[in-house]
Amino acid sequence: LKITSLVRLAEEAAYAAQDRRNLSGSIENVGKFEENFAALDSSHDGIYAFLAFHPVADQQVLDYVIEGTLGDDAGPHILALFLSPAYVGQPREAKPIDAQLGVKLTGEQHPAYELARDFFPSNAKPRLPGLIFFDFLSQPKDSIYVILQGNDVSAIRWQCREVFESANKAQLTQCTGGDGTRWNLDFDRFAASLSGMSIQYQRAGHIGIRAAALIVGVWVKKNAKALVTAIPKIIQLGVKIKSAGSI
Amino acid sequence: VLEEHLRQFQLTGLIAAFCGDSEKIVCGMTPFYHVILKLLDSAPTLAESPVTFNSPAVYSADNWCSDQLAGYAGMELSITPKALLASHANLWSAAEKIRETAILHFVKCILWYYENHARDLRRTIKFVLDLYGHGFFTSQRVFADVMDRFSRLYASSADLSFLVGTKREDLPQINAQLTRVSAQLPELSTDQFEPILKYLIDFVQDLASEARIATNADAWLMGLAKLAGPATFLGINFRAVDVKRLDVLTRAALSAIEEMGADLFAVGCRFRTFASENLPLGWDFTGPYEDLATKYRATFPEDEWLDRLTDDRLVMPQEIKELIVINGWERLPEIETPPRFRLNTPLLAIPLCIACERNPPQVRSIDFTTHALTVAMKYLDRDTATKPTVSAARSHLINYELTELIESVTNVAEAEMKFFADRIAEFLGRYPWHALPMFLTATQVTSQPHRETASTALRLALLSAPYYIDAWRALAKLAEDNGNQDDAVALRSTADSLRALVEGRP
Repeated sequence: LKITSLVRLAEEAAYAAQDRRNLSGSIENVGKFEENFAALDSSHDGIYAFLAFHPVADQQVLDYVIEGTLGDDAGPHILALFLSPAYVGQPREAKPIDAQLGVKLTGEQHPAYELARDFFPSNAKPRLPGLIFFDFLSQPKDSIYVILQGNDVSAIRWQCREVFESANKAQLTQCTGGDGTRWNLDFDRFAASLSGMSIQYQRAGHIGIRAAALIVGVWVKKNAKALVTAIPKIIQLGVKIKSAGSI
Repeated sequence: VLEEHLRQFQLTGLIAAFCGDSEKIVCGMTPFYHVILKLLDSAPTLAESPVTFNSPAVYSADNWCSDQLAGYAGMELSITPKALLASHANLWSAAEKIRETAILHFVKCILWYYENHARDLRRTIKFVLDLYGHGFFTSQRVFADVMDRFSRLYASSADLSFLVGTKREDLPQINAQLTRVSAQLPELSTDQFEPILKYLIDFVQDLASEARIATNADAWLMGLAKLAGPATFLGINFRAVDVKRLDVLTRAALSAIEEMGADLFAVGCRFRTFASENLPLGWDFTGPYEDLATKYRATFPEDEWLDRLTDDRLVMPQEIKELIVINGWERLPEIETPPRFRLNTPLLAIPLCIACERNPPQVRSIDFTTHALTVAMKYLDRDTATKPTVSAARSHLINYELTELIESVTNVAEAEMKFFADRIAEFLGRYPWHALPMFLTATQVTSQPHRETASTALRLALLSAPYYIDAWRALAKLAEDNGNQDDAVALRSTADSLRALVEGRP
């Protein structure tokens, strides 16, 4: 599994979007998180999904990440994120340690738990592990917390694939002005299909959909430096089935 | 010895593409090429046996003994060392004189490889990068042209299945068909190009990770050299393709690789300038990057800037970064680069010297002080009417130091071995690729427990000075002492034929 830092990806997305090249490269226009995140939002044709888990308590999820299919399971339109304790900059192969942030923290102290808390009613105990889908890095408008269940890696793998597949089917093409369109998630349709599969989710908790999304945005900024993106492996996109150019 | 020499040959192509002058490589390589040929002529059994080490190769008109057009020697191809040599030499020569023919030849072999390996694009791109890493391309431009042409043919609607199952004897038909399909090559659309770009990016990222963990200057230089061609090609295409059609991960990766390519180009230029100005050879990882480091320090927090600098820019290996972490940036002027990072070993003497037109014995290390040179200048100034040149002073100084070294180490008793070794090490500290001290080391330690040391010293001497007849003879003697009669005969015969070659005898 190859990973890259979310902050680095956002910086490079902002740098790639400008016409100018700098003498010292992208660091000359390292803007604020907000600016770079906005640039990433407009360059990324899709949404984000954060895999929330505790590396010790949810060992089966850690094992799933280490197996290396997270990026492929999410697909090209969903950037799959998780927290990493190591410095991760440019894309590189992940080591098991890269997915073990907060080993010594209790469940309640873990930053992933902090995010989960806002999705559950105030009298309910938040549940990890989960997959949090949200539409934008800077100023998200919608989000959903999907609860992952299962005590072994195969159950988690199966569930993540089901959830990602259903998200990919609940596509909503949005116009971005001009001829541009953007791949977005139809959160309502997605929620309905999760219900259909009897997969539990939380959408707003005690604070409402819009507020939950805003809290995701604040949390992402706060934990941005530790967030990494799982890069999908290259599937043979362009394999010529015949040699006659049909792809 | 043969394997080492063949490897030197390949590395020369790679280093030439990184920091050398591809126009001069064919000429510069000829003497060394003859050494390997003489070695092969002297060892017929070796010359007839297939190459066993893993190296990619593409067919050439000379000595090619396989019915396959391309593949990996030692795995997919059964070819002799001479066939591998000719494959390199012919393509280098063609790339300079008949560039278009060389490009077509590469493209033909790559397409053949693709069609005959289940149309596995990833595997094919790995093959092209391996060809680059093994020095088949002496210039980044030829590599870029080949990649471009291959990409167009790959993406075109042309039916290439006529290549499947073909052998070398089918070349006339292959050539005719390829000429036909190449006649109307379409402009490449970004969508068609995307899979190739993605695989290349993936490999370049892995090569960069590999370079970062280099544990010595040789591994670092080779790591950078392997990256230079593909990174430059991707850099060009960052501008050429419609990046908006690429997903954000690919777009960001391309942008970062374009920056990396610019750094690699600067390192290559630095090597070239240092060679043309006859400046000492060596790596200084901190000095040249002080300005850059200051910028990073100003932009990022204290616990982040160095990670960012070394990760964003391929300017120093992981180990050097850790040295800075341990010592602190403030103590930078006191930090000494470890010896294994300061200088490339004689294993890269031939590639670096041929690619950059240097003379191995004249190469100074960064430990060379100008004081001695000033003294030599004054000495010459006193004796000659005209003002002495720096180069004359340098030759004078080396000769003087050599005479002194030989005198001081001749007939040293066993008890004085330490003194002897120190003098040699001191000399090699200043002139790291001078073959004579390596030879002296070998001749002083021929007794049984030191034979391995002697053999290594002689092999290194021969890499710095391939025409060192006495070193070939000494190596033959060593083989004889070890009971390897066949090797001894072959090495002695190589020495004899090289002598004949030097003396102009047939």
